Amino acid sequence: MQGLALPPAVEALQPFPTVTRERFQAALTNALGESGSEWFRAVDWHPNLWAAREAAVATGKPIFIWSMNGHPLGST
Amino acid sequence: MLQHFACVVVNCSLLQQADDAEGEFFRTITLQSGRYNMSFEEAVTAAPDWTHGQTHTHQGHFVGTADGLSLGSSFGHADGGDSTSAMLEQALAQCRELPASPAASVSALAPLDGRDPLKSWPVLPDDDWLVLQLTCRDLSRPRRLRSLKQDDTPDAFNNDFVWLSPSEVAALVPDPTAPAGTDTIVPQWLAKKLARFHLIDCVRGEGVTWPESAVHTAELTVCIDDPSESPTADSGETSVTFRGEFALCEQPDGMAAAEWQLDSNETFATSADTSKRSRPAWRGLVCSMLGQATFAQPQHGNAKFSTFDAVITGVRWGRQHLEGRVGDEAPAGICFGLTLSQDRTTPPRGAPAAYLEASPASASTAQTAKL
Repeated sequence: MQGLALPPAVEALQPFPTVTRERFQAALTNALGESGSEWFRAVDWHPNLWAAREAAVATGKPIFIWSMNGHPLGST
Repeated sequence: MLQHFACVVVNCSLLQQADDAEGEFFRTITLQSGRYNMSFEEAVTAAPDWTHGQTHTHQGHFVGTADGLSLGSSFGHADGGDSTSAMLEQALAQCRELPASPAASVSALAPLDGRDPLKSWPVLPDDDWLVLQLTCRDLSRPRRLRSLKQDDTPDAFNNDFVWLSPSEVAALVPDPTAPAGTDTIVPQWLAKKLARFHLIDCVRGEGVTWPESAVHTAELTVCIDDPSESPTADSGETSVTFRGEFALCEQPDGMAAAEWQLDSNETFATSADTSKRSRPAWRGLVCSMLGQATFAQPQHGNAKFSTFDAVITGVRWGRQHLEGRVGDEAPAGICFGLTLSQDRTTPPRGAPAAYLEASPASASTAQTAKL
């Protein structure tokens, strides 16, 4: 932590949490949790709006857009 | 229900400002929504020159035709999705009543003539890229340090995706003939890229990339495991362990450090009032990484990971200018989990150009796979 002065309240939390080889799998399971298994990951999303528009033209289906600040399937 | 639609998810922070036909088409639909209440004709006129940088949001659920005619919109999830379901049903019924669209043939739709490079991703990762899913969540805290937010949503988490190009993968792996037990330093530009773009507290909402000046430590090493202790010894693959140390802190010039009193009561534990501070707010992260991975290195070609798991744990404090951490800013434990991703189309958070250019070899890798 070159040159980084930690705030006192951060210093007070030392030793900081770390992961050992022995606890690695449990820590990974805790960190990942159930993420990745949400219902919306099973939807056949088009990779971008233009591809969805092309599919709409080809199939006659309307376009459904789920729009968020930050990618809805990523960090939002 | 969604099988009746051509479905797409978009990051409107980028797309609503895109200076290209895709951005214009998006704005044409969203400007007709309940947020802006324009007619189709008004939206078509306004969409090309809709001022970039406007703070108006284009978040929500929208249904439109391939011509850009809006068929419905809904916002928020307070009713558990009921209003969106109703909107979808109405939009579908309305669509079936429409006369045949003038654009209802593939030939009527002009191909997209390039994308705004600042607001869109020019590539999708092909098989040579390493794509990781990142999950970020708070570590459990003693009761006296818990905030109301953590009590309300103790299992909050957020996701991100790491895209590493073939040249970045090459920088990540050691020479497989190197002696086991020898640490190889991963180039600092790559460790710094991972820190700046991905070690971001996004547990309670979208995160913000760290500026270069915020990186105090970004050290990552990789070590070939002892083959006699490795389950991949007979597979021809190489098993490695990653270890990393990271320290990041962003404190605006002239701004006094916020102080938290962790030994006090719950109010004090979350009381550092940075809620009125504008960007950039004061924030920091100190953490360490342990990762285990296996890769195959063909004689010719790129290394390919068959497993990649990592955990990063440490302490974060403060918040960014976005509001997710307001009321929950006191220093506390945080963790990030990384694993190979099945999803290879959801891009990393952040600005595409900045992300791709954070690698010295970006110019030669950005064209790997055209979207």
